Amino acid sequence: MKDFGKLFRSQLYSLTCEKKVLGLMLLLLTVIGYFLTVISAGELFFFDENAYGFEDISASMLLGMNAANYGGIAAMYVFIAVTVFFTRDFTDKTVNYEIMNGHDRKAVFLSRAAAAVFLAVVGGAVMFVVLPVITTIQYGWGSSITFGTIALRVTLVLILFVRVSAEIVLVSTLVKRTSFALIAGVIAYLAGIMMNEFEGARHIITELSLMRLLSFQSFSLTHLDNTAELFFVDTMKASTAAAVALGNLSAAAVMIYISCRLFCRSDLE
Amino acid sequence: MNILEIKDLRKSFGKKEVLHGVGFSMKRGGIYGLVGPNGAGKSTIMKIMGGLIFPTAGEINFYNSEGNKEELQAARRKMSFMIETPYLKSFANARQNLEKQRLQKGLPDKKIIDRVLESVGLSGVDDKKQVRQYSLGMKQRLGIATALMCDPELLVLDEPVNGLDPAGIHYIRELLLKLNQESGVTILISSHILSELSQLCTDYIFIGGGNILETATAEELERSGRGCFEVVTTDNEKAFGVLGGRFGESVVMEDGVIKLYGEIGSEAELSEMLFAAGAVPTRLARAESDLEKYYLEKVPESEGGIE
Repeated sequence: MKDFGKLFRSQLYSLTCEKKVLGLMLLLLTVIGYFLTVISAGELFFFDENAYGFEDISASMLLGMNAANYGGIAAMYVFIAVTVFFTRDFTDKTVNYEIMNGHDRKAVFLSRAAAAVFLAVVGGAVMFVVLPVITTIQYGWGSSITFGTIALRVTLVLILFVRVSAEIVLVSTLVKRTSFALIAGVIAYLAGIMMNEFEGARHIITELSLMRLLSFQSFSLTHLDNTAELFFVDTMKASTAAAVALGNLSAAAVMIYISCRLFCRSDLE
Repeated sequence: MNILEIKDLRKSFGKKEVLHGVGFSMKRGGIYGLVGPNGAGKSTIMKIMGGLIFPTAGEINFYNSEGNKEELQAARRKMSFMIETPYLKSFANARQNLEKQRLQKGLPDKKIIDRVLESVGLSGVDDKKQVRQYSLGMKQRLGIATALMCDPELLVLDEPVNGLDPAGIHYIRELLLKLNQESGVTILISSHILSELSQLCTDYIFIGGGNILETATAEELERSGRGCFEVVTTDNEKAFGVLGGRFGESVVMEDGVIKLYGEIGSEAELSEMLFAAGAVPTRLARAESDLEKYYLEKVPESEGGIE
């Protein structure tokens, strides 16, 4: 494992070489996220124009309403970026050449997995920072949800992204091709949705799901002057939050371990 | 001193064994041609050497090592491979590709990038040009540049001139010869372009059907009959008798042509001898060493040779 540092630096360098592509992707997704937010703001206004005026809309309100959307967009980025980043090294034989250069297989694999997780967490965090910052500049933060509540949930989602990227790493190690990995990912995603339809499976899946982590209970207060305020409350217990974090990290560790064992034992084309 | 020794190397994919106990050795400073048809096992041997695939049985020893995992890994740091396609990031330029290599190898000196670009003739290429915009020849040269980043002692190249134009082939050949002669780099090269190998190699390893068919030095190949004097005279019977008396069993008659193998002295001396015997030479020439012919004889018909 003595080469891990060198290989990880080399991986990060690869990412900087493609900062334009990654930046463009983040920008595109941010724009999509922003328009979703604007649409929801418009819906609020038109839905009950007596209750909500634009002056009542705040970033915290939009974030409370749209957090799951932001999460979905960030998950899309994680899925595409990590799959392409991880599998491409198999396609262009980067992995082969690192092994032929005398690097330990374990270090070759883990440096790549670490870079994939880094890419997922940093990219995901950017999505969760940029959109709230834009809406805060536009509407002000407001009081619909506390910053601490959002920070906790986003942290849990970023931990969930660690697990998602570990899943992608496992699939990519098995199929070793970008197109196959993307297809496998879409199938896994659709399978997840279908399984959510079954009552028995729903509980297991939602414990670790993005939607659950980014959904809040809400209530509104209507004032005597017929204006209303929307509030989101965090009903997640500390024990649940800890379980989510631990569950995701444990699952990620198991998947990385299995992937690493597979990689270290398999012949490479 | 042997830089590489392979003993009884076997590899199976599923139930099919593709290498059946391959063994050969390479001496430091040589240029070795690995010659064989498609599917003979050339790439498999190279990939086992590089650690990409695991042998079913057998030993690979670099620098007279014991062949354990750590020693093999350490030895691979002194080797460079270019198997099939060069390892290049197509959306990066040449310098970025080499910088990635430098970081990966932990080389402290950034100037090495300029040096290797210079050595493969790519130092003048615009940095705005990404590798995907390079010609095949440029990519091959950059591939060799990446292989040179660690000052290798052994360079393993699989089909390095495939798809190149004559100028590209010439450039790569000169580059490899320079590396071998000036820096003492030992080279193992596989190619289907046998005429190219014959201009480079000091040694040949013939492989077919997962077996080593023969190993020979370029000199042995020449001596063993592929490089000979061909003589045709006005009286071949008489000439054959005279030459046979002088050179013994190294003279044979094939299809109306007398072939003399081994050392024969000067052409003038031979000519005088034939004139004196009354057999006027109408043709007296050294036949080119023909690797292709030898290859076709060695490799079974079923694998691309002739019976």
